[in-house]
Amino acid sequence: MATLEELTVVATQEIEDAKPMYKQVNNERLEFTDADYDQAIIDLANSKFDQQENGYKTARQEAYGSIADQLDMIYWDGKNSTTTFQDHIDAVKAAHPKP
Amino acid sequence: MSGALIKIDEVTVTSSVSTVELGGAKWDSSYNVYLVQFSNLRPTSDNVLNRVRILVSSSADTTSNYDFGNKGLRSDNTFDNNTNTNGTYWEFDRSGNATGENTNATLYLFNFNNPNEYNFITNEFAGSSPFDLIYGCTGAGVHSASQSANGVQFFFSSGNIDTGSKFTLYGLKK
Repeated sequence: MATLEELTVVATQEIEDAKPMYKQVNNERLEFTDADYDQAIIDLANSKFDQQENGYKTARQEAYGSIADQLDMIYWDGKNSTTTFQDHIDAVKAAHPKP
Repeated sequence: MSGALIKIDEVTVTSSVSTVELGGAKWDSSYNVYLVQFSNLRPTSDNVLNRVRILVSSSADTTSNYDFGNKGLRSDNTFDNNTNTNGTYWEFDRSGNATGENTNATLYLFNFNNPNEYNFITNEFAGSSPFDLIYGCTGAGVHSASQSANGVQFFFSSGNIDTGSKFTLYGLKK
């Protein structure tokens, strides 16, 4: 688990590698100012931190599938005495663990 | 009503950029409500989030005053929620850059010229998403500081705004 400070170091290097970066202001394409680059580093570091802390939620939601499909699994598990739904949820949680 | 939508600013990205600003020096403060449309919006990186900040005195406001709530309307899966409080931007929808994918939206801006009220935004998105499906996104945001604003800034959670993306700012005539 990286700290925000550690991720800021990573973000700083990524922004450095991405230079020059541009903004479109008054329909003119201008290179970022120093303040723009500083803000880009903050934004990127915060995004990385949020992804690290909360990315598993989005990944799990994607992997769980629709509620209709999950209800279908539960229905057939009841009919057939299987554990498809439980296995599916366990697999998703294992594939995308909480940090 | 003819002539009720007055174009104030328009940007078509002709070479990829990290941010796009609408308004600023071109801001016309004579309207109560503004409408922003963007079309054919594409990122240079796949699966990124659309983010918006207000401009205060033509500079992006990066204070932690942005709250938002959105419902993602997916054609393949459970609808999803995207919410946050005290962030440094509003965040809407996801965009992808595979062939045929693009994002289109209408935003309404409220109270941007009133220094005694918060700034509000509503959003309606339609697009094809990085999950290879049709995706809608609707919701609202508030910037909880009593101040005037004179535009909006667009950017993605990573990567650039690609060539061909078009942004237009209108004032709604009283």
